Amino acid sequence: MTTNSMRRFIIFSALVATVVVTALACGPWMRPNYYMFSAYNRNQIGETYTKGMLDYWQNYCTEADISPFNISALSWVSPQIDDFEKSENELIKAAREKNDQEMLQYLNLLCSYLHVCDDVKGDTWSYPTKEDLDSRNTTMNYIYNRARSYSGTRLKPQYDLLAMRTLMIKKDYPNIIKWWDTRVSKAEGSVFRDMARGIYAHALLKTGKQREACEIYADLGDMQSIKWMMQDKRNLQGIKDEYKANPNSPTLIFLVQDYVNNAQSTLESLRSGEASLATGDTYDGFEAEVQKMRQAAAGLRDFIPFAQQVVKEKKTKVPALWMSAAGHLQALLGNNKEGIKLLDQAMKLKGTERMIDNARVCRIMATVSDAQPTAQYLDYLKGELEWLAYAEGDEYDNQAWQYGLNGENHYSEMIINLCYDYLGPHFIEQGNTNLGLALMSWCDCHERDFYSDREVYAYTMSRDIYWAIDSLTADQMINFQRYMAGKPASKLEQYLRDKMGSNMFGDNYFGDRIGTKLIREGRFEEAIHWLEQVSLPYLSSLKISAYMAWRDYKKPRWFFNENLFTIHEDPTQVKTNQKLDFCRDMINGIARVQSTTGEERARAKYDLATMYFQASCKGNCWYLSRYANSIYDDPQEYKNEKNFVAEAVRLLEEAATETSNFDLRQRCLYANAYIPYGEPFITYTYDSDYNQVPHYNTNTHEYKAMSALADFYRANPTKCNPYVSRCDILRKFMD
Amino acid sequence: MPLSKFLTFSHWLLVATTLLALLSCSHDRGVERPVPSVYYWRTSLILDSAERVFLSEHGVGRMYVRYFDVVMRDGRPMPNATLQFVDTVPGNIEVVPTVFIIENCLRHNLDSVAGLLVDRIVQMNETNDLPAPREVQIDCDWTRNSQEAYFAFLRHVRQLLAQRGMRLSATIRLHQLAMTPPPVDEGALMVYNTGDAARSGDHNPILDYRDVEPYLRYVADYNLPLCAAYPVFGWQLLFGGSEFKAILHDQNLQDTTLFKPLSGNEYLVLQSRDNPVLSDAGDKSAWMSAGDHVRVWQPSTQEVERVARALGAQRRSINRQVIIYHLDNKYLNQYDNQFYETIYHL
Repeated sequence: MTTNSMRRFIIFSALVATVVVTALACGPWMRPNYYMFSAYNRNQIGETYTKGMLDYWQNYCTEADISPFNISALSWVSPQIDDFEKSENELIKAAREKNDQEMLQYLNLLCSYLHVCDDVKGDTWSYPTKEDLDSRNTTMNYIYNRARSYSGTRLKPQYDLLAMRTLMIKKDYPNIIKWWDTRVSKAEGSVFRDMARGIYAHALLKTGKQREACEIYADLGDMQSIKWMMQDKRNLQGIKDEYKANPNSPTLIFLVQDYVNNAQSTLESLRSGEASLATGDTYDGFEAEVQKMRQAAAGLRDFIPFAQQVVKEKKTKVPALWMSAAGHLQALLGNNKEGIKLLDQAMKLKGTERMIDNARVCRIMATVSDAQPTAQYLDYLKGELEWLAYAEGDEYDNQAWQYGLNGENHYSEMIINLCYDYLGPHFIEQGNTNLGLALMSWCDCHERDFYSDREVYAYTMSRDIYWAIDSLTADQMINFQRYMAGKPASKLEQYLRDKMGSNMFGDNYFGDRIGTKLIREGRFEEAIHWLEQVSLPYLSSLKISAYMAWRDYKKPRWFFNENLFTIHEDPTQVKTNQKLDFCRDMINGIARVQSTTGEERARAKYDLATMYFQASCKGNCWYLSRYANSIYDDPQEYKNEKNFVAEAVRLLEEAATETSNFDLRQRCLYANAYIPYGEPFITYTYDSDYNQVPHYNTNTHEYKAMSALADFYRANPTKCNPYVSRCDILRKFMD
Repeated sequence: MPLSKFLTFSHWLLVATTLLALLSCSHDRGVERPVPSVYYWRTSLILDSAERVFLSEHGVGRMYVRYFDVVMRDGRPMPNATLQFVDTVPGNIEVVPTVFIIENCLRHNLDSVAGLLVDRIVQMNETNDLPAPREVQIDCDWTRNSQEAYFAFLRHVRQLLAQRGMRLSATIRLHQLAMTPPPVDEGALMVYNTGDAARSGDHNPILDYRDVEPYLRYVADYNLPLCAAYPVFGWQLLFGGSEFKAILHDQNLQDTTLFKPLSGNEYLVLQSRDNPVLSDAGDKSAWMSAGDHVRVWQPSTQEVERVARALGAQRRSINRQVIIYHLDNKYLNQYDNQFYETIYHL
C-alpha cells in the first residue's frame, strides 16, 4: 500500500489484533479509506517501463516465463565474450537459441552498459581510480559509438535508448536533447522510446525547462517526480497557472486529481475535528483551529466554478476530467444532487476511458448518502456493482502486478469502501439491515473469489461481515437467514445471492452462527435446533475445532488451565459437535438446579457455574459462544446477551451459602475468588520515587470474594486444601 | 653539582607556578591549527556563489566534508550515499574527510573495515585531485553498549592513519561527555540536536541552553582536545496532536491555502496531503492531515552565543576552532555577518 491510498485507517473493532486469540482468518481489521477520484491509473507510477519491458521480452522469449528478475539479472552477466556466450540468462539464452546475432550483439552492449552503471553507483569499498574512470569513459564511448553506428531498423529503439543512457551517465544534457529531437522524437511508440523520453525529460529539467519536463513526466505517469517538482503548485492557484500556460498540459491531470483527493481527506479531517468538538475531546484553542479548518474547507469550493469555466472555454481536450472533479467535489461538500448532475454531464464529455469510468465511480459514491432501497435505485446499484466487478477484473488484467509487481486495484478499493464502509452501514442504519448485510456478504464473497483465484495477497479479506453479523441479536440473525433463504425481492438481491452461491451462507453457516448466538443469549433449547443442522466436516473446517477437539467445559477453569493461548489453530477433525453437547448439558444442569434441594442443589449449582464460566469469554471453552477471544473481552460489554460470568458468580455464591459440605464450600469460595469479575480489587499508582502504591477497592466483587475466602482460611487453617493454603494471591491479600 | 645551587627562590616560584598552571589546565586543550571551519553535509559537492562568498568572507580554512556513510547492507558494513564531486573546494581550504557510521555497524566485525575505510578515503582524494588529507573525522552516535567496539575500531583507524601521517578526530555528542573520551587525536563537540525532535514542547530540539547546561560540568575535565560545532540550520517538524510525524522538506509555510500561522513558531495545516519529508532513504512522503501542526525550529543567534560563551567559560580553548553545521545557503543567509564574526572569534 502506498501513502496514496493508505491515508486513514478505520478501526472496526475494539479488539486489538495483537492480543486476540482468534479462530478467524483475519479477525479485527484496519482498512484505509481510499481515495475515490482516479483519473489516471496509480499503478502506472514507477511500473510503466517494467510492464512494457516484460511484455517485450516475453514476446521475444516464447519458451520461458519472463520475470523482472530476468531483466535486472543482465547486470550480473559479464560482457566478456567467453562468459557472455555461456550465460544462462533467459534473454541471452533465447537469442542464442534463435541464433539472433543482432540481438546478441545488442545484449552484450547492454550488459557492458549495466556493468558500468553498477560501478558508477559507487557504494562499494573499492572507490574507482582515475584509470578506472578512464576505462569507464572508454567503455561508454565505445557503447555510444556502436549505438550511433547501428544502421538497422529492428533494434533502433533499443540502440537509441542505449546511446541516450550513455550520454546520461556523462551528464551530457545538450546531446541528450539533440539525440531525442533528431533521432527519437518521431519514432514509433515503444517502451524503449518511453524510457528514452524519460531521459529526455531529465535533460530538460537539468537545462532549466521544468514545465516541459514535468509535462513529459505526467504523460509517462511518473507521478513521484511530478509530486516533487510541483510541490508549490499543488493548490488552486497552481492549477490555474498551469492551465493558463497550457490548457492541455498532462501535468493538470495530476494536479486536478491531487486537489480533489486532498479535498476528500481534508473534509474527513474536518469532520473528525468536529466530532472531537462534539465529544469534548479537545485542547485549548482547538475550537478556533476547527473554525480555521472550516474556513479553509469552504475555500475548496472555489475550484468548482473554475473547473466549469474550463469546460466552457473548450480549450481542454479532456472536459470530462474537469467536470468530474467539479461534480465529485460538490458531492464531497455535501451537495450530492448537484454533484450527481455534474458527474452525469462529465460522463457525456470527452476524456480518456479512465476519466469517464472515474466519473461513473464518483457518481456511485455520490448516491450513497441519499440512497433509499427503491426498485429504481436497487436496479441502478445492481448495474453498477456488475460494472465495478468487471472493471476490477479489467484493471487486474492491465496491471503490472500480474507479473508479481506491486499494484493497487482502484475498483477493488471502491467495491470495498462502497459495500463495507458506505452503503452497507447506510442501509443497516436506515433499518434495512438485511439488505445492508447482503451487500457486505456479497463483497466478502466477491473479494475472496477475486483474489484467491489470483493468488495475490489481499487485505480485502477483512471479514467485516463477521463482525456485522456478530453484532446482531439471535432473532436478527434468524431474520437475516430467512431473508437470504427467501425469494429475492429485487434484481439486485438476486444478483447478490447468485454471486454468493450457497456454500458461503448456507445451512452450516447459519446453523452454527445462529446456534452460537443463541448460546450466548442463554437460549439453549432453541440453539439445539440450529446446531443440529451443522455437519461435523463443516465444524472441523473451522479454526475453533482445534480447541473443541481437546478442551472440556466440565473441567473447572479455576483448577485447570488448558493453555488458553494456543497459537496453532489448524482445523481439526471433531467427533462430536461440542456446542450441541454443551446445550444439552446446560438444559440438564438448569433442570437439576430447579428440581433438587439441599446439598444436591448446591452441588448442581457448582457444576452449572463451572459450565457457565468455561463457555464465557473468560473461560477455556470460549469457542462455544464465539469465534475469537481476547484478554480484553469484558462480558459486561455484550448487550442483549446472557452474562455467563455473572451467572457463574451468582450460582457459586448461592452454592457456598447453601452447602454444609466443607469441600464444596471451599471450592465455591475459591472459584468465586478466582473469577475476574467487575473492577479489580487492587490497583496501583506510583509515588515520586517510582515505588508501587497499592489501592484496595473494598466495594468490588473481587475484594468481597477474596475476603470471604480469607475468612474461610483463617477459620480453617489446617483443614484447607493446598490450593487455598498455598495460594500466593490469597497470601498477598491477607498480608 | 646539585641543580638547586643554580636556582634562586624566585626561580622555584616560577617553576612551581608554571607547573601548577599546567596541571590545573591539563584538559583545557584545543585542537591543533585552529581555524574557522564548516561542515559540508550533502551528497553532491556543489558550492554556489553565496556559499563561496561565505567561505571567503569569514576566512574559513577547513571544511569537514561528509564523504560517505557506513551502513549495514547485505549483513555487513558498507559505504552508502558516497559524495559526488561535482565541484571543487577553494584551494586554500583544507578538506577533512568525514565519515558517518551508523551505530548498528558496531555490532558487527569491523576488523577489516578500518583498512577499507582509510583506503577509500585516500583513493577518493586521489581520484578527485585533492591533496592527501591531514585529518579524517569519524562521526558516530555510540553508546556505552557499543563503546568497546567503537574504540577498538578507532584505535585501528588511528594507527592506519598515523602510518600515513594523518590525524584522527571524532565527533563528540553532549551525552558522550560523561563517558571515556574516544582514542582519537581530537574531538568536535556537536552542540546541536540537543533535544528530542519527536517531543512537542517549548524546547528547541536543535539547541536549547537548558538541554546543554547539565553537560557543562563535564566539559572542563574532558580529556581530549576539543573544538565546538554550532548549528546554522532549521527544521519544520510535523505533529499530529502530540505525535511527531516527520521532518518536512522545505515547505512553503507562506502558502495560506495550506498553512495558517498560529502563535510563535507554529502553523496549522489547513489541507491534507502527502508531502516530501527529509529522510536518509531518499524520496519519502509523510501524510499531512488538516488539523496537524508544523513547528519551525531554528536556533537564535542569542542562544548559540549564550551556549558558546557558557562552554567557553568552562573550557577556554573550545571556541578556538568553531565549526558551523552546516554550509547551506538556505540557512546561512538567515544569520547576519555579525553573528558569524562573533561566533568565529569568541
